[in-house]
Formats: sequence, C-alpha cells, structure tokens
Amino acid sequence: MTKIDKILYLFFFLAIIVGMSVVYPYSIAQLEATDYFVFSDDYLAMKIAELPGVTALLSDFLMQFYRWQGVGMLIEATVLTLMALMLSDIPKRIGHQTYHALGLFLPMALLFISLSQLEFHLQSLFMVLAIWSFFRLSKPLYQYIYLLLFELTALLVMPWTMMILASVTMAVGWVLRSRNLRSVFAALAFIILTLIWSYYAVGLMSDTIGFVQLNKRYLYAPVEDLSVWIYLAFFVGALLLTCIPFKINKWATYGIQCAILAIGCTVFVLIFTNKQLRLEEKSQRLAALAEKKDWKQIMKELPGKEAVSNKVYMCYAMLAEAALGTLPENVFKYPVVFSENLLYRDNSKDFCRNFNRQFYENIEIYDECFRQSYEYGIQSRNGLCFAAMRQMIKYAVLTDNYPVAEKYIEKIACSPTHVSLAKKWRHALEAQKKRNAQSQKPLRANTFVGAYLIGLEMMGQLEFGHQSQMIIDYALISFLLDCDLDNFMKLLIQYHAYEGRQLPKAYAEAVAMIISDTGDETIRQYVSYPPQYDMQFRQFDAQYMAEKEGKDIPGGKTDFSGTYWNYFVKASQLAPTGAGN
Amino acid sequence: MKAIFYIFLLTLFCACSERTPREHSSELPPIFPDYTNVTIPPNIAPLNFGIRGAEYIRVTISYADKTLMELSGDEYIRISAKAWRKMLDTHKGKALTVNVAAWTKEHPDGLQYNSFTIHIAEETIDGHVAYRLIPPGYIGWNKMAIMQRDLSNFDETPIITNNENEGGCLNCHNFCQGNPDCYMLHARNKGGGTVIVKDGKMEKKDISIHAHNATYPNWHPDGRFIAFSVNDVHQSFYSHCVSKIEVFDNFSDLIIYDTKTDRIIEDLRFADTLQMETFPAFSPDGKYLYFCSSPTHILPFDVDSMAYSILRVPFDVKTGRTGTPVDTVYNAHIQGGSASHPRISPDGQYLLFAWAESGTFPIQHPESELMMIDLKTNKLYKPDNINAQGADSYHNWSSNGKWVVFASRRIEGRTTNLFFSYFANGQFCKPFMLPQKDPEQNVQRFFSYNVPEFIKGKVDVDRDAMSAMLQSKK
Repeated sequence: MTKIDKILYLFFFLAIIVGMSVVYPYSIAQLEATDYFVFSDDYLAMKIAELPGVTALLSDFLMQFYRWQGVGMLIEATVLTLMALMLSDIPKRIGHQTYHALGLFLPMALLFISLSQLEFHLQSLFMVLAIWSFFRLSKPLYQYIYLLLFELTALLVMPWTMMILASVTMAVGWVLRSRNLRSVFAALAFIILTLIWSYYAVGLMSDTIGFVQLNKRYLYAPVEDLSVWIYLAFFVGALLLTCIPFKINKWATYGIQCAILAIGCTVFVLIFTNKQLRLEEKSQRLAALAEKKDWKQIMKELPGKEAVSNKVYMCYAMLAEAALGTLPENVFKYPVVFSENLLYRDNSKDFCRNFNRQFYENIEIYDECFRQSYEYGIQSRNGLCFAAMRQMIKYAVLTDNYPVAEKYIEKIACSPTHVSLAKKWRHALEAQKKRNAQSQKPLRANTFVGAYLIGLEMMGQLEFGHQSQMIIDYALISFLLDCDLDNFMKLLIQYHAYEGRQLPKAYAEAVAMIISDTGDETIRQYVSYPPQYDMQFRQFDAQYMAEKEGKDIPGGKTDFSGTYWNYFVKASQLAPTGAGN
Repeated sequence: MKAIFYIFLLTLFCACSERTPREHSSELPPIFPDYTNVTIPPNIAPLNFGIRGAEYIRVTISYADKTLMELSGDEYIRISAKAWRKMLDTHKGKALTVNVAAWTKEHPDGLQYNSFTIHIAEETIDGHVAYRLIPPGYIGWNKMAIMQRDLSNFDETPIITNNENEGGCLNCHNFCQGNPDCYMLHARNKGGGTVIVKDGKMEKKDISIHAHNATYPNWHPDGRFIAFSVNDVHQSFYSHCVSKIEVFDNFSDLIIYDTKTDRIIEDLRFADTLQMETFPAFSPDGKYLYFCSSPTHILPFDVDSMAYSILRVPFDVKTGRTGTPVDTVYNAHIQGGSASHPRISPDGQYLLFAWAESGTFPIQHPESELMMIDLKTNKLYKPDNINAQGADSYHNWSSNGKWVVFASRRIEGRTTNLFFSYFANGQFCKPFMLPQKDPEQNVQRFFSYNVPEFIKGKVDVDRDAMSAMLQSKK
C-alpha cells in the first residue's frame, strides 16, 4: 500500500466520522432512538429468528452506541474501512498485485446507496471477511474445513445472495490460485453443493429458528428501494474492480487514486448536500429543540417563509407559537385549512407520532403522550425502540402508573447503555411515589383524545377540569379554523379567558365579524379588542361584496391576507354547506 | 501453602454446607408467581418461582413429613421436569407442603416463611393452550403471533406469526372442541381472509357482509357451522382516567357460516341497526346459540350506556338457522353492567362471562370481572377466588370442564397474562399463573397473552403453505 493509498483510506475513515457527525448529528442520534437492544430471552430469540440473525443482533447491539454520535460514526467508519482493507487484500492472496485504492469503491458505494444502514454494512463486511479469510489459508485441509464451516454458518451472518456471491468468489479465486483442472471440478462441486445446501438450509432455519418470509429467502435486495440486480451489480462490480490487472506504471496508479478520490469526494458532497437528508436533519433538530422546550430557538430557525415551506416546519412553528402564547396572533399567517392541521392526526409515521407526543406533552395530556410513544415504538423495526421506552417510562411516572414504570425501567435496564439511566429513573420513581400518593382518577370520563375534532377534544379537557391557557387557545383556534363560531363564542365567554385583556388578533377579527354579522352588541360586554378591527372588517366586507358583484373598489384593493376574514371566506367557499355553522 | 490449602477446603466446605435461616415469619413467602395454596393439574409444567431481590432461596417440598424435593437458587428455583412429573404422578389428589426460606438484603441471615400447600387435582388439564402474543398497546402492532404452549413443559411454538402474513394482523383463532386439526383464524392483509383448517384441508375464505369482515367466532360442536359476529371495531383513548382505551363497535351483527356449503346464513332479527350483537357461543350440545346484545348508541360519546345482555336462541344443526324464542339469560338493564364472552361449561350447567360496568371490551376495563350463571337455577353469582384487582377477561373451559384459562391484567394493569383455575361444585380455586422456565418471563415479556383457547394436542401447520396461501390473491 502506497503512502497515497494510506492517505486515501484515512481520508475516507475520517470523513465519515467527522463529516457525518458534524453535518447529521440529529439524524445519527435518531438511529439510536429507533434502535433496541436488551439482554432478554424474548428479544434475543426474536432477533436470532431473523435471517441473518446474528448480524441483526450485532447491528442492534452496536447501534445503541449511536447515542453518542462520534462513537456511532466511529463504528460505521471502522466497518466500512475494514471492508475496504480486506477487499483490497484479496487479489494479493490469489497471487496478483493490485491497486489498493480500488478497495474503497464498494464501501463508498454502500455509503451512497445505504447511508447508515449498519446491518447491511455488517452483512457486506461478513461477506468480504469470509472471502478474505478463505484466501488467508494456504493448506488444502484448512481450506476444506473452512468451507464446511462457511456452509454451516454463513446464513447466520449474511443473506443468501451474499453467501452465493462469496462462494462463487472463493471458488473462482481457488481456481485462479491452483490453476489445475482438479480445482475447477472442486470449485464447481463446491458452488453446486452450496446452492443445494443453502436452499434447504433457509427452509430448515425458517422451520426451526423463525419463519422467513417467502420473498426474503433467496434472491432479494436487503436494502429498501433497491432492485436486487442493482444490488448485485454493485457487489460484482466492486469485486471485479479489485481484479484490474496491476501495471508497474506510477501514472496508472495515480490515475486510479485520483479517480477514487474524485468518486469519494462526489459521494460525500452528494450525501452532505442531499435535500431530503438535510430536511430530515433539520426536522430532527426542531424535534430536539421542542424536546428541550427551546421555543425561541425554533422560531429563530424558521424565519419568514421557511416556516410555511413544508408541514413539518409549519407544525413546529405553530407549536412554538402556541407555547410562546403568540399563536392566536399569528395562526392565520400559516396555510392551515382545518383544525386537524395543528398536528398529524391520522399519520402513523414515526416522525408524526413524535410530533403528536410533543403536542400533547405541552398541554400535559400525558396518557396520550404515552400512547403516541408506544405507537412511535411500534413503527421501529423491532416494534419497540429506546426512545419509545424512555418516553413511556417518563409518562408512566407522570401519570402515576407505577407498576408499568417499574416494569419498563427493569426492561430497559437490560440494555448496556441504559444501566445508569435506569438507576436514576428508579430513584425518581421512588421520590415520585413518596411525594404523590396514588392520585384519585375517575374510571372513565369524556376526555377522549382523537375521537372528536380538536376543538371539541379540548373542550372535553376543559369540562373535565384540565385547564390551561394553551388548551383554551387551541380550542378557540380550532373552532375558528373549523368555522364553528357558535362554539368559539360560547367558549370565549364561558371561560373568561381574556377577561381584562385585549383579545389577540385572530379572536378580535372573529368577534368583529360576528358582531357585524349578528348585530349582537351585547358581546362587547364580555370581550374587549381595539376598535380598528370593526372598521377593518367593514372595509373587508365592502371589498368582498364589490369583488363579488364585479364592481370597482374605491381607493384600490387592500390586502387582507393573514386575517381571519380572508380565511373564513375561503373556507366557506371550500365547504359551503358546513362553514359558518 | 498449607494454610492456603486449608482455607480453600474450609471455603469449599462452607459453600457446600446447607444454610439455615435464623429468622422466622408467620407470613406466606412473597413468591412470584404467587403459587401459594393453589390447585394444579397433575400434568402441568414445573412451577418455578422466585423471590425478587433474594440473594439465595431454599425450598423444600414435602408430603406427610416426607421430603420429596429440596431446591435452591439465587433469585428463583428451577425444578427438574423429570422429578416434578414423577412427584405429581404419585401425589394426585394430595396436598404438598412447600417451605420457603430466603436470604435477602433485609434478612442476610435468612428468613423462614410460613409453609403453604399446592394441591394436586385428580383431573388433568388439556395438553396445550393457544393464544395470541401481541404488544400490549393501542392500535398499532409490529410483531404478533398465534402461539401454542405445551402445558406439560415450557415448549412454546408458533401456529402462525405475522411474518407469514407480511406483517398483517392475525386474530380471533378458534378451535372446534379444542381439536388441533379443526380451527380457524383471521389474517388481515392484502391477501388475507379467514383461514379454515378442517379435515386435513387448509382454505382461505372471504367471510363478510355489508363490506364488514367476520370477526368474533365460535365453532359449532359438530364442526360444520361457525357463528360469527361481524363487527366494525373502533378505539378511542381516554386521558386522565384509570381506563386508557375504549374499544367499541359502531356496528355489529350475527351470521352463521356453513363450512360445508361455503354459505353465510343471516337472521334478520340479528342483522338490524337498532341492536348490536356480538360474541356468539354455542352450547356444548350445539342446540343453542348464546350471544351478547345491546341497543345502539352514539359512540364513543354514550359509551357508558353500552350495556350488553346475554341472549340465547335455539339453533337448528340441520339447517344452520336460529329459531325461537329468544331468551334473555342475563339482562344488563336490570342486573347491571355489561356482559362479554359467554362460555358454557362442557356439562352445559354453567355460563362464565366477563362483566364490566359498560362496553364490549372488558380487558380494557380495569373493573371487569368473571361472573357465573348457573343455567339450571338461572342464579347469577360472582365466583370466589378467581377475580382480582385488574381486568379479568377472556376465558375458556378445558374439555373436561375442570379447568378454566383466563386472561388477566392483575399483575401490572397493562399487560395481559394467563391464569388457570380449578373448578369444582360451582366455585373456583385460587388461580395460578402460566408456569415459565424463568418465572420473570411472564412479566418481562413485552407481549400480552390474548384469547387463550385450550387445545387437546399440538397444532401441526405447514407455515410455508399458509404463507403462500395468505399472499395469493385467490
């Protein structure tokens, strides 16, 4: 290996650790959040039952360390660099000199097509390791024993396609190394035997260890969104690349090294500038800020139009505004068209579940937070994940559900990275128990979450006695969004939420409109708002009527976007039968 | 060197010598699972148990002052299956005495607890129990499986997992008279349907009416008909309440499915929108069909008003039709509460059902209990011993009518575990938890045990064929 090769390998190794940790820290932490590993019989049996089970288990074990982004990327970089080193060493073992830089092609391709998919990278590493180890053996007896062991264990660490690929590579290498007719027959026999054995072995494993889905037994791509042929092409291509005949020509070596460097840089630039990945990273960052309740920072990170550029940003901006108490002022600046747009009501994606949890946490409806945490965990590949467990423990404690909290603490304590956290939780739980005798809760009450529109749901909370300014505002805003002005007025008057205070903009606009439409001046004794809203509404109304009748607007058109009146008119047009009722 | 050798020998001697507890307690040992003073079948798996936090426990099992077994362990004891089997075989109908001593941080010199008994019944329990393992949750799931457990040992094997169904839901398994070769289950997915295994054939059927799938099943004892309720099931979620979930039907009717002719038989009396009918159950002689029924309400708003009564209607085994009269066995409006899961004992005398204050899903109601009706006298009573704090719900009689298995959330309120209870003279004995190799597995497991059904033997299923069938469009 030349000095430049070494630099290339070091560059690749460090670029993963530093680059990824700096550019995607929240996405890396998210990998741990959705991972799960505990030393428990059920979990271990479940993982081993996957094909290839040992790799699945190892991947989950290592992934728990991604909680510390640098450590996570160190693992990722080590796996990929080891793979590159072994790959570049294989031709030498067959008796050919090689361009070492070419060993980096496969890891770079894997990084590009399956970023941070540790399980797949480990499977690939085991495949390369199997081939490399075989060529390290020189005595035929050892080779035979090795091949036997390979046949028996390969499916535990790599999928069927990789096993066959490794077998063919070993067989071809064997022939190339021996260069005699006998080895050709032996190699052919080995491939045929591998095909027959592996076919039955998969079935046997499915019958005994754990059922393997019919379409995930033989020829399939272990990476999502990738056809099996492209996946195979990457591996075959990478193996063939390492076999490019070596020529003692320094320009050829430099050329290949430059090409690999260029490919590497392109891969990293593409990864670091990928729009989708950047969006996910920012979304995770917003989620992390919401977790810390750093609402001002969220608003800082979503300036102007950025807050309305997609639903994720909009939801977090509105959540922050609600927490800061400014949502009633600004809600109609956001392109919401229905109260259910305040959260992700019917979306079961993990990100949406997490947002919903944060939404309900802010209004202290912890039972719903527990449920959203559970549903979040269900979306993870193991059906349960660290983040969900941590959150469920937190909410079980907050809802005085001590037996459940105890059980979950004991469960998560079986994860090596949660031992000290479990200890802290146990103390917190004991303290909570002492502080708070079992609270008296009703068996059932009309406090359903998710059964009615948000406005009525919040009304149920208020009627139950669970009151806060945020809940009142969410209820009022929801009624406005759903054009349910009767309930809006009823709630505004009933809960005296703004008694002695001026109404925020959205409410004032709605009240001005209601008074103008109904002529009910008695409303004014319950609320107060600046008189300019009455005047502005009259102007809006005149402009609207003029537009409707196709008349000219004296003094030119005024921009009423961002007002409740504008929203109401549009919403009424969208839902002519229901709006306004 | 010699000194070291003697110290080594002394240490070895101390380690091997039997510990004797220095303190005594008049209380029963806090063992988990609680097997104190229970009645068990003679063919049950070893009742391994432990004391949480114990550093060492010692257990002696004896009969008439004769020690039958001496066991010890750090946190729990593991009983040899062979010795256990022999002991149960030779002591049928007798009560064994169990002495437990534990060494804990609080009692470093050991504490000898008061002894308790384990009574071994003469009557055996069915060989297996089938149940669904499902995350203890709300709407979503990831992994689930219908499993079978050999009750004479710790072998647990899948009948089907949702891997075979590409992750889709599996539910409502039901066996005809506990026959492992005659059963059905629903697989809900793209290629899903109702899987019916009978006479060595496995078939997938689309059993639905008015765009709703057949839901809760019960086989007729002769194996030809299956009664189903067709339910439009929904969930709503409480906050700030003891109950967390309300499961309710927006619609539910009864149908009879004829496995011989592949025909659905409807009775318009039980297919209207004014009443909701659910949880059908045939009497053991097959002459009656029992089911639950409630007037329709606006849900979930009026869920507290949902009161299901138990009705009974004659069943014609030749035509598969229900006749007259429709009798009320349990009148929820007069007797209070709401009834679910009626199950009649094999001798036809007793009807065991789950009672809750309201609604149709008692496992989500912490107040739910098992209630009994003596069908000879029509007397309703709450059986002794079997109920506890926490929901007690789905239950099933063994084929000899001497045992029931039921699902209960009595341990921590969220996860459902299985309990068994001996039944004699209209009353139950103290129930015992499903024995596990590691006793903590029952609670450490992240899955709930759902819909326990006794089976007389092991279900043998070709899972590849099942999977291929579930994925086919036919």
